[in-house]
Amino acid sequence: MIEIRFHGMGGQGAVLGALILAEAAFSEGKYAQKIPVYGGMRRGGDVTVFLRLDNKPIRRTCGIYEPDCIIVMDPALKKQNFVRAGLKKGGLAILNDEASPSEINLGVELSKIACVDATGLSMEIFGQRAIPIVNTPMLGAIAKATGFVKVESLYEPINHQFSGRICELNIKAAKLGYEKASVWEA
Amino acid sequence: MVQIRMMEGNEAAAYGAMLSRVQVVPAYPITPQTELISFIAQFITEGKMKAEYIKVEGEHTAMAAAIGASAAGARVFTASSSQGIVFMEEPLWMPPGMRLPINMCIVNRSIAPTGGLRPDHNDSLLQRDTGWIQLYCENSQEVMDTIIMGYKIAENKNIYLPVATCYDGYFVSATASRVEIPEQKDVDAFLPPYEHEWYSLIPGVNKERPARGSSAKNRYEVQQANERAKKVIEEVDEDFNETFGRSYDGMIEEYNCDNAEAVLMTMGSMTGTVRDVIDDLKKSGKKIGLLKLRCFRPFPTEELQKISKKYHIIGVVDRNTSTGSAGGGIVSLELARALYHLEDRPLIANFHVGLGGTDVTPRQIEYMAEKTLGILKTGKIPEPVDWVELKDLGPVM
Repeated sequence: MIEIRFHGMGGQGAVLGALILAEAAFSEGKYAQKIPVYGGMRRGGDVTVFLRLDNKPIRRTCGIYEPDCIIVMDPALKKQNFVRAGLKKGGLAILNDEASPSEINLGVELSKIACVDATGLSMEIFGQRAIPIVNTPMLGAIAKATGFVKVESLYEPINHQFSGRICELNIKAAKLGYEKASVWEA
Repeated sequence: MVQIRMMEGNEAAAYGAMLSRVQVVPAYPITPQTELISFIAQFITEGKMKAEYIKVEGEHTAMAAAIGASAAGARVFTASSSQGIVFMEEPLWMPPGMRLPINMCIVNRSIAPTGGLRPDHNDSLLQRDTGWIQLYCENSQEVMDTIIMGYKIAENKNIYLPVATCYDGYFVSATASRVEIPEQKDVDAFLPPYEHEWYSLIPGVNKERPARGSSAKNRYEVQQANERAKKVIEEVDEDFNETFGRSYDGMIEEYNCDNAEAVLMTMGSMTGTVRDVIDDLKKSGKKIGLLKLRCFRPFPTEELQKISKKYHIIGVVDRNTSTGSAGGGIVSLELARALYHLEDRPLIANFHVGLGGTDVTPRQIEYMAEKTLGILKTGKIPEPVDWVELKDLGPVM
């Protein structure tokens, strides 16, 4: 079982992003499970989503305390202790960050770190927004860095959530996230 | 064709209502139930679901409207959580006595002031004396299936009781997992259209209606219907299995109990995590299994009396509190009463976890399993209930 923890702020699309990734993995024949946790405040409050992928049915319905992989949707979050908490040695981290992945230090030896400037990509694709759309560029980066799913597998689940031009733009965002992500390997 | 896809508990519940061809849905939104009724509103707007959606000003009216619609002969569905259920309390007592087979989802959420948006079971367990049947679900698939079964149980002419399908907010309501969506024609064959045999308020179709008796007579009848429901719940589960190939073992599931001397007894979403932990403990030679209590009302007394002969101790995991009670959580109190008259009865250990919606972690479950086995060894129960969350057992979110 692969255990992934998404960290974002309300409005950034962590919950929907995790669902799209779950559906993509599911379409590739894996079992998947997504559990979101957030408070009453929506936009701006911190959001955690747990995502499990496995080749057999997933039964446990609890939080993930020792993730194999963390997804950090906002550059400000990487310094937070609850984001780094329990991240496994040899694990993976994918961050929305302008920095080069070799500059990222999460306080534990990781096997792979990927960075993509998802905020910049959102500006480029969707224009100026109060809260940038970072989830679909991040999904592209996740596909590239982890291989959990093929980037093409993301398109149908994106299509399931959006229609028309918004769908096209989000697919473009995933593709660009895939292309632009820089990956550091131990 | 049976469709298979990822689905959150709330969407699965909305599908359950749609596939059951629900006709009237009076509902008021509340976290974590909101997505459920918003999916229903969407299905109706898209024309996929032919039902009357009644926008009401609060949960009290939601239940009042549900009662009216059900009395008029409609198949009715509603849903709420936490404060919404508490606000609904007054009319909520009426459907059992009126013998109206309304179905409702209680998307469990803790109650103010100490609770947050996340689940414990005090909101639904508060309704335990009303006469509603209560079924607890573990995941999205079980939610969808239980709603369909719920109507078949509720509308059985020997029952005519309302049914609450209860599932944990977030850990089921917003958790996406694999779901098989049954075909409409199969659901139609399983669940024929609703027609109350003796109750209708529609002028001209008022049928033979039992004379109104005393309160005691009415409550006795509700009690008798609850007793009869035990068999019906088992039969409906068997029928469901025959049609759709999925069974939930009726009122209680015994999981991995071979050679078990002890069992943990759970309700709701924590059950999946307990399955994983029990499997691991079994591999390391621990003689412990799992009892999943699916049906809290009617309380499966006779079945538990039978089952409990096999085990020396039952560790009851109560995701609720009954402060000032005779000792411990609500499920343990019920179990103690159910087993009291047995000459050879197991010990009962009791735990409080997941209160206010905190997570129930594998480490907490291991702790409860070890403690239950430990008590069995010494024969001594150190305290009426162990407040597991107050122990330092690693991170809990």
